[in-house]
Amino acid sequence: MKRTLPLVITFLAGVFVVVTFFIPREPFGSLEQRMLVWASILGGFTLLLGIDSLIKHHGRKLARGEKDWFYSLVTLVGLFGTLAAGIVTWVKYGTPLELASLDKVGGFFWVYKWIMVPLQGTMFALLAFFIASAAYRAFRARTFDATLLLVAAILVMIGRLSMGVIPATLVLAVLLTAAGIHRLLIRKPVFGAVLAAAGVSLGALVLAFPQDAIRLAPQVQEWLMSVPQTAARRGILIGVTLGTIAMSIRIILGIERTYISST
Amino acid sequence: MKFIKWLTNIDRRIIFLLMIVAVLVPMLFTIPIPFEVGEPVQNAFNAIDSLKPGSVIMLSVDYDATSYPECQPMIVAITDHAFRKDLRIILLGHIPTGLPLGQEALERAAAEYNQSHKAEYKQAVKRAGEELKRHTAGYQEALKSAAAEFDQEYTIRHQETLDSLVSDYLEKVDSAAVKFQKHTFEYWEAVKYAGEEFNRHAAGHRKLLEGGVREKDPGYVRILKRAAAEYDKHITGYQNDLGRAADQYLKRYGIDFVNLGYRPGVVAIIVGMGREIRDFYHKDYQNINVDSLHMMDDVHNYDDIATLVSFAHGTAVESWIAYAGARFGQQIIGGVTGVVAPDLYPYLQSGQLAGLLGGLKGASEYESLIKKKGLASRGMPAQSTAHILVILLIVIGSMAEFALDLYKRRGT
Repeated sequence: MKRTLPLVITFLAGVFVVVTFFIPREPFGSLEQRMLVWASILGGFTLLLGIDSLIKHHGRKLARGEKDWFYSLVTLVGLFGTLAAGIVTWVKYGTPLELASLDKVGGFFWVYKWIMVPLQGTMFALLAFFIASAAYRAFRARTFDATLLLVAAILVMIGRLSMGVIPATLVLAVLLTAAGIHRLLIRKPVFGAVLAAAGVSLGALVLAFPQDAIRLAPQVQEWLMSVPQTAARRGILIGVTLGTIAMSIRIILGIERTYISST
Repeated sequence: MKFIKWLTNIDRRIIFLLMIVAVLVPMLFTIPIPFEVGEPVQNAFNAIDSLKPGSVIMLSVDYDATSYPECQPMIVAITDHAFRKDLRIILLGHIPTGLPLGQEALERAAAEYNQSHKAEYKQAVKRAGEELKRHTAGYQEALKSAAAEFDQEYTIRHQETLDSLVSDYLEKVDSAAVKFQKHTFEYWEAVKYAGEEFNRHAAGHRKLLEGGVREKDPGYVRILKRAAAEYDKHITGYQNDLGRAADQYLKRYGIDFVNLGYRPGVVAIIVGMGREIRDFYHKDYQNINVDSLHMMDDVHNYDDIATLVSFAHGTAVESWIAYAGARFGQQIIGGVTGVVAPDLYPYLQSGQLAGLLGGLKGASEYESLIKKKGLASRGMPAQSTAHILVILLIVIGSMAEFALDLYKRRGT
């Protein structure tokens, strides 16, 4: 019963939603809307579950004095501190969210604006440093595939520049020429000659027609994004969608049961 | 050889330092940059620009502070454009921690719009005030001369009270106007309240006045009544003039934009709004009943929304396309981070997306289209130098690797 009931509910709900999609007339339309409202309410309860799980996990770590217990303390202080700020502001102004206006700043919005936003921004800003370091270490034109990927990536980056298109393209030309010479010296004449010729031609063209290079750079980037990238992406998308449909059918029919147990 | 080896493995702290310099230096200077506007951004601009004044657009905040540098300039630019085109805006969001950023953008854009139309608005208010004074002056003169004929002392005393009420009312409107830039909603409430107060007091005094002279001369009462009706007409006209001026020159919460807030359940909400928005958002983010917001009077579902713009750093745009676009035919524009943009190109080509703003570049292109340099235009030079640094580092690393490889081959 413990396993059958969820399977029956899932089957009925799944079939019902599919039916209402194809028959929007009454009473199906209203019933579907009612189910959607329920789904939204259930979504609210998942928030409570998340808070419960967070408190239990960090409370346990703190109580047992486990490794990195201090971070758990910070998390719990953050959670309850924000909650307290929200309640105080609510009492003071009638609603904590009213304080999103420009000059009426209360405790809750203060926490959001001066602690949460800068912290989130800082965490994400660190990516710039790590991406630069990782790109330098990982992007090496060792093989044909790696060179192709590298050239495409650099062309996209150049296309998104607002200034410095000429020097950046010249740097790319130097890379292509160097890669070509390297291949020639290690006795890969065809690939080497193609790369070196491409590098020299690109450099010469950029120097001869700098204005055209600036104009064409975004168009090259747009072409790379719209044609090869989109073709690959569309294939992935169709694959993912077919997989999702298959998985949904498995769940509705009760074949896929991992969501109710680990087996 | 040692140097080449070092070049293949530069200390990451040096790279971090170079990145700081590459980002900081361009921010210290104003660098003029030309922009070539891409087709996806141009299409997004055209979709909004071609809407009729009064149309409703829905902005969905599906990002938070982590994507502030890329998405915030987009919402600021599109809000600005929408206000210029006299479009009405519904704000909502699927990321609760991002929604205040959207509210901030809206309030700032409204405040800027109001500030830039301050002079015209004040002029219109002044004109309406002068018009009222002109009409009431004639009325007061007529009353005074009538009073002289009947019972001078008694009626003049009450008439003076009435005059002081008018002055008081105008003063209240003036003092409310001082802070209208930031409190457009409260301002309008204050004007309405002052008007109601005035009408209440004035009615009381008229009653007294009429009662006082009724016994002495019914002919005079008739004059007073006729004059009072005339007066009411002018006060109503004045209030209508103020309303028209505010409609034309002010962007006010509840009338030109609303914030419906956050509700959990992304897909359920997107699908459910196709039938009735109020089923999910019956109150706004300030707990005000949505039915009491004037702007929402004729807005119920996607049929009433001309365009939807989702600002996202995740898969929210795809959800909007799948459920609001595919099922209800809602026109959708995406405003996404540079990382997400490539995922949306298939939808752009299939016509499921009317336009796309990708990353800081997309935002800066939109700014150049609305001819207003904002956060994105200021940030682009820094992003460009950071990109150039990354390209340089990649090239240096690869070239050093070639040299090292050749050296090793010759050595063996």
